[in-house]
Amino acid sequence: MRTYRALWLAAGLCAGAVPALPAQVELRAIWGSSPTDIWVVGEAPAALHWDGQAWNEMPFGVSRPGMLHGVWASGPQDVFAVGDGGAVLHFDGGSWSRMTVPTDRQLVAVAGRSANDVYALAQSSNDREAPQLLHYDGRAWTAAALPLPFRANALALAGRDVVVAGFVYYDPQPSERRQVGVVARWSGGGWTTSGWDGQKVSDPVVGAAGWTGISSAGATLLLFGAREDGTKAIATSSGSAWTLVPPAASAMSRTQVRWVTLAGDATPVALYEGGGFARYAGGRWAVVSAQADMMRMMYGQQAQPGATAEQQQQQAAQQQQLMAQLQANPMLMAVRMQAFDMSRALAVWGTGAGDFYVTTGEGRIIHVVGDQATIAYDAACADPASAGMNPICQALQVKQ
Amino acid sequence: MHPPALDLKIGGTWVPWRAFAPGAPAAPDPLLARAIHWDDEQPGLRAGSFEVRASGGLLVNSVAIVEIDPARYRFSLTAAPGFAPRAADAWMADTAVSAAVNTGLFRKDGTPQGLVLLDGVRLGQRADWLDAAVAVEDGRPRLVFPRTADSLGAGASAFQVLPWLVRAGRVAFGVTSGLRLSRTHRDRRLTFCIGSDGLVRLLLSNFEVFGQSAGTIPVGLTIPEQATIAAAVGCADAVALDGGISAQLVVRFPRRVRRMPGWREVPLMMLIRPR
Repeated sequence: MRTYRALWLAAGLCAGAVPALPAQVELRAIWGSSPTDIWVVGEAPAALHWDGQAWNEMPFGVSRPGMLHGVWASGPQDVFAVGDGGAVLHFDGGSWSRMTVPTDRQLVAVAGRSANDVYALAQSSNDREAPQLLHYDGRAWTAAALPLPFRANALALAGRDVVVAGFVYYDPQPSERRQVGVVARWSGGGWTTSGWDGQKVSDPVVGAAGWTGISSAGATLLLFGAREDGTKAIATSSGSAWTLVPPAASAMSRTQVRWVTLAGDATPVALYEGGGFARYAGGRWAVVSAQADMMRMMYGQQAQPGATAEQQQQQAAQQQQLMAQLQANPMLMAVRMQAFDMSRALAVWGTGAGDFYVTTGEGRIIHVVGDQATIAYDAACADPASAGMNPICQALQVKQ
Repeated sequence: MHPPALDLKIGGTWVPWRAFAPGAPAAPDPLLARAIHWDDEQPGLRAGSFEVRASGGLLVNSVAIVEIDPARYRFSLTAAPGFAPRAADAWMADTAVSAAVNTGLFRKDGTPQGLVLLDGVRLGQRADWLDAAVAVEDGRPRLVFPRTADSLGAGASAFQVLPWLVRAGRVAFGVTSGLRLSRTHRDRRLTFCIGSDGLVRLLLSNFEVFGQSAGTIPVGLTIPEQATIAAAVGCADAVALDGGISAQLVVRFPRRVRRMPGWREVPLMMLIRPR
């Protein structure tokens, strides 16, 4: 078992050029039952587990076809990971085992309320099939088809409801094709759909975009997707109606939103491809960019209102220290910019907008606390040979 | 207002490239040639990809390109009985098939739109709103007007498509073809191109979306961007095949099969076999 301990990137980096990181395994899904029980899966032959002290590799040791797309845990001894070919893997605290499920379709998401109430979303293999919702009651998995065919991308639980989001294609005329968003909601008694009713657009907000992600915090739901012209769309709901959220305008040029999700405190968080993130509160997006982070490091934060003279002195001293670090180590700036890079962000989990993790297609886990990002894990550092050449790995202590 | 220019990724760097220019001459673009990474190659058949950035730099798309020499490979049109829909990958079970690609638009009931000639047998009538056709004679494809396809000789195959992207060496979309089609709708785009060098080229934007990925949608290029790329590839003639979730392309090489699946099974398929 390898253990990786995260350090702030400001610690002890050597001067020199930043080498390109090698292509790494995709880390597609992240979930935590608590801040000290966080799980990450993807195409690696092991899950990653944060126990509050370190990231530990937990090898599956069982047949695992293709990619894993979802993970959910009720606790450290009860973890479900789902993926290609109907794969459902379960971790009981000691080892992983493959569960028997009534489908061989790609499972794109998993979510649950307890060890005896877990749901998985099975993608349809073509546009004539309805997606399936799988349910685990603590003894066995069962499958039920959704009420209409659509491309189901995402699953969330909101209270007692199960909500599935995706899109459908239809041709209003032979030469015209439209992409319409779909949300299907199970409320105990049956399914309701919005956006598309099988024949026509039934809700202009839900139907406005193809949805790639859905997240929930309590009864609040957030949809994230793209319209036909490629622009990103965000919608929220705290009941039955959906409302479009204003675009997460970027303070940076030539970049756009990569992903939007609800943090654990129901704050929408947007990740930018060019680096940085934003939080939505009070009807507006507040952007924290990599550039802004550097400016703050170089020139210091504004004095907090009501700060005492002593606090202001401490802050000034901190600024001087950071400036000295930058002057001594110009590579620090480049590495910090890398830490903010969200261009291949794949999944987000956190307790709130001030403390969340992002997994990426480069095999990294970025941890955002307040306005600062650190690289909590980097798969490139799993290989000691390449780790020695990689400045980011030098900010991580690797114990075999 | 001028359409925003496309950028190409060359050696890891985005390079400003070109914008849609209706009527512009088509010729192989050296910058695009540098952007293409050829990954699989054998005599008469090679496949690669390149990255293009659209929408003012905001939207990145990977585009697959497959180049086929019709002197070495024979093209044919095929359908399952009753136009039963099938995925391109299903046709690759025949190991003599080197590549399979979907064709034109089809109706809700699964039957192809417009003229369909299958080895000389007429299976669909000409539709006026489809202004181009892919014709196959003696295993060689060419792009023709539907009226020409309708009068092909015995044994020929053909199907209708729209629009023309490039016609007789000039960008035709927006000039003589596709005037009523959306210029802003972004989708997976599949191009059938016959180059001035005689090679056939197939291009598919956002080709990875229905592969192993979950949680994605098929946003791709606009038709003007598709036409711009077709011209820069050096197509003497090029048309759009059915795109979106229907677009699918599979190519067999000795060391692997490159699968670019769609999410819709289709009634009519073009197969490519060694001569």
